[in-house]
Amino acid sequence: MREKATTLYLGPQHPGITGNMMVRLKVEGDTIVKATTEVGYLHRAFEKLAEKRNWLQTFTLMCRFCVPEPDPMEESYSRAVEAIEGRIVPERAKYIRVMMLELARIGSLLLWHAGQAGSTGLYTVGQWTVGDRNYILDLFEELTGARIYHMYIWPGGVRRDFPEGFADKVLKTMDYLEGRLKDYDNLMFENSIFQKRTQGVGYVSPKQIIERGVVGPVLRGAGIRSDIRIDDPYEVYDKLDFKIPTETSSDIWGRALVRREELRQSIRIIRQVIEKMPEGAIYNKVPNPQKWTIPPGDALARTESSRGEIGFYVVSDGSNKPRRVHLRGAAYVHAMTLLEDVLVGQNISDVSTIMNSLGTCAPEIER
Amino acid sequence: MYDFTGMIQGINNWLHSVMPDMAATVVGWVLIGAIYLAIFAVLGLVLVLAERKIAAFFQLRLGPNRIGPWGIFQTVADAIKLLLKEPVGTKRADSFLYNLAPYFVIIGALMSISVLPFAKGLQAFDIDIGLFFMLAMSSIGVMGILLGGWASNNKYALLGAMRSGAQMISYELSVGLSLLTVILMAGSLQMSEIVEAQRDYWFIFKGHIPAVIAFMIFTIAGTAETNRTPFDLTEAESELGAGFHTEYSGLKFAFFFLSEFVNMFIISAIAATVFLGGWMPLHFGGLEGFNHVMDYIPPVIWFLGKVAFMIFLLMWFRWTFPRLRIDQLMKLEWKYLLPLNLMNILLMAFVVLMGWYLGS
Amino acid sequence: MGAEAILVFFIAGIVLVGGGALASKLLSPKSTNKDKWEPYESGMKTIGPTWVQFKVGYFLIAILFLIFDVETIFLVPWAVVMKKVGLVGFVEIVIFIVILGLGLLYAYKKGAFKWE
Repeated sequence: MREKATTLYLGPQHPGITGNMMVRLKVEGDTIVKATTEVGYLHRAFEKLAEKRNWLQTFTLMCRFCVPEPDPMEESYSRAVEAIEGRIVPERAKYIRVMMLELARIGSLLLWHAGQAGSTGLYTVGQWTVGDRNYILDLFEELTGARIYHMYIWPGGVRRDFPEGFADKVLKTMDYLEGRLKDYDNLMFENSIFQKRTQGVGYVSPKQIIERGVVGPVLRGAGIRSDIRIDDPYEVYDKLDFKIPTETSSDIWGRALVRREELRQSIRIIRQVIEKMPEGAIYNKVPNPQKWTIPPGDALARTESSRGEIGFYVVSDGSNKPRRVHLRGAAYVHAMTLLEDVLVGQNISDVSTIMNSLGTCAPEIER
Repeated sequence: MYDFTGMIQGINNWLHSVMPDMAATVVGWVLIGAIYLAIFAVLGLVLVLAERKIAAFFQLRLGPNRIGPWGIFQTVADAIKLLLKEPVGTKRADSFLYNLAPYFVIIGALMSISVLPFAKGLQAFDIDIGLFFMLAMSSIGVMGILLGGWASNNKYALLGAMRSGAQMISYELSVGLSLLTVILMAGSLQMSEIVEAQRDYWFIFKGHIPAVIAFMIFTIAGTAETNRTPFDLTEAESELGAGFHTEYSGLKFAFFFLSEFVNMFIISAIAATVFLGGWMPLHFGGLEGFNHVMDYIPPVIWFLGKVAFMIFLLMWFRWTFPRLRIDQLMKLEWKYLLPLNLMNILLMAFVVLMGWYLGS
Repeated sequence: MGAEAILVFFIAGIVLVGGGALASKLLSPKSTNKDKWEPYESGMKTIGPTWVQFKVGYFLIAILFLIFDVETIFLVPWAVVMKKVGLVGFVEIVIFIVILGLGLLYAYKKGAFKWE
């Protein structure tokens, strides 16, 4: 039997939608027959804004692309600028950058736990993981002075060296987190209702993967071992030992397992970084920011964020301002085009779960 | 040991001695009505606070802790805030039905409380079809939810109300059928007699295997009846905003909220009365000394203790389970609980027929 | 208390809700903002009629419920007297429940619980 189709809005002001974006659903009964994403509620024109600032000032903008995980943005932008200018980064700074990226990944994955479980109505996981994320933010605060937007990684290195006893604190936090992972497993991954809600839901077909340019955990959840950290190693990832988890089911459950394992691998990476980190300088000083010009040229820097590959394309025309800055984020393809495909044929109840699983980040879509 | 029949009778006689019969009867009614309204309001305040505190306990945080010592006046403050809040609804609503809906949920809940035996003699309305009456009354609530969702004229509210209707009527079958196993043993529907029949053993012990199965089914179905996680699809926050009460605000919303918590109390009280002996202390047939010691604890404490245990169980469910999808919900009821229930009734009937239960 | 309890509790309920609504009406602030009284739909203006057609499955469930609930009501008096009636009652109820079970099986085979 077919019911009359009706239009239902989810968002922009809806508790189940991540950030301010809208999904317009055409539903027949409970089943979605057509989904359209509409964005524009959060546009801040950062890319355009960057063209009006000098090189150093743009850094305060770059981290604001994405709230849960700002560091990969800083990292990519820095690497792109360094590539154009030919600036060399000291070895110690590279290690610190990797540690920052991995800490940010852990923080972001913890937030993902909260979103994924919360979208199925399991709010306790969210309270736990967001509470534990605070310990990561404490580390950020001690190292960089800021909890969310650090503006820490900049061309030529990083802004500050480790404070006294910081390495031990990082290791202690990692030990604590590793202990907590068992609790998350008990509450979330071993919960049969959670498994039932996620298995076989939100399937991404190989055709969609190719057509839409899917990256990150969604791609690895479909069984493809692709990760910029291995495919195109940056900083010191080639000197570290870690695994890239993959699953073959390509549904929400598969992606959840991939992210669950990535959290563990990140902890491993941070431990190795602390162990192998050399002493030395942490940055190559940049000249007076007002007069700091970068020779003409362009560069693309790719970084693996927790949602997948992000790429920064930066063009310089030789002046003290960027000519063009462009971000190609994972959330853009996932939340705008892929989501529309995946939602068709699903139940209304699963919209929020699927959005969280695809790694939607509204601020990253609209820059 | 603690029999309140005489006390109630005494108050009644005293009323009749100081005023004419007619007036005394009316005053008695008003007293009972006022007492039960007070119980109702206090239940709401206490349960909401308990829920928030228990949620905080599960989620490793503090919970409400600002108003009064340990935040115990938080819900009072909430109630006052809801009373003073501007009522915002929707002008598209069918205003008569929209305003009528809270009456259904509140009256349904109040009526079901009326037959609860708090102790021997402490019962407002000891009708001979008590259990049946209670089930019937508590299912009036679904009418209020359906009306409210429909009259709101809002897509989320309508979806929530429809889901709620389907869910509550489906699980009502399981509630009714699981209680049948106990009625088989008790041979009565009167609440006081059901409790009295558990003098030697509580029914969950008396009926051993089938009673335990029935208790588990009742707990699951009861959770669904009260629209709590894992069955809270009606107000699934991440899908429907707030479900059927999306368009209700201020005190009208408070009534839905209150009735939800009182319904949880009712389901817990039914479970306590029917499976866990009601106000009857923990008795084991033959252990006279033990039974005698247990009798010293007042029955009201026994009753409220059991209810508190059941409520804690329901809250535990809420904070450790995700919610089901509507198709999974229906599958659980119609494919698993209902057939299991029917077989369980046969098993219980067989046990009763052969006299294989404990005690008399 | 006898059957008049129904009346007492009915009136108590009306007093609670009606009194609360009245108190709220007297105490709460009012505003004349038109947009406040639009139906909530995630911050967008609603498109089309809001009394939308819902899933047919809900009707099916309601009909099935009606059947089984009536059966449950038949079972209640039986359960009360089962102890006294004994074997005859048991045999009769086995037949009754088997028929009921067949009905459930039929509905299942017809796909009434599929919820496509």
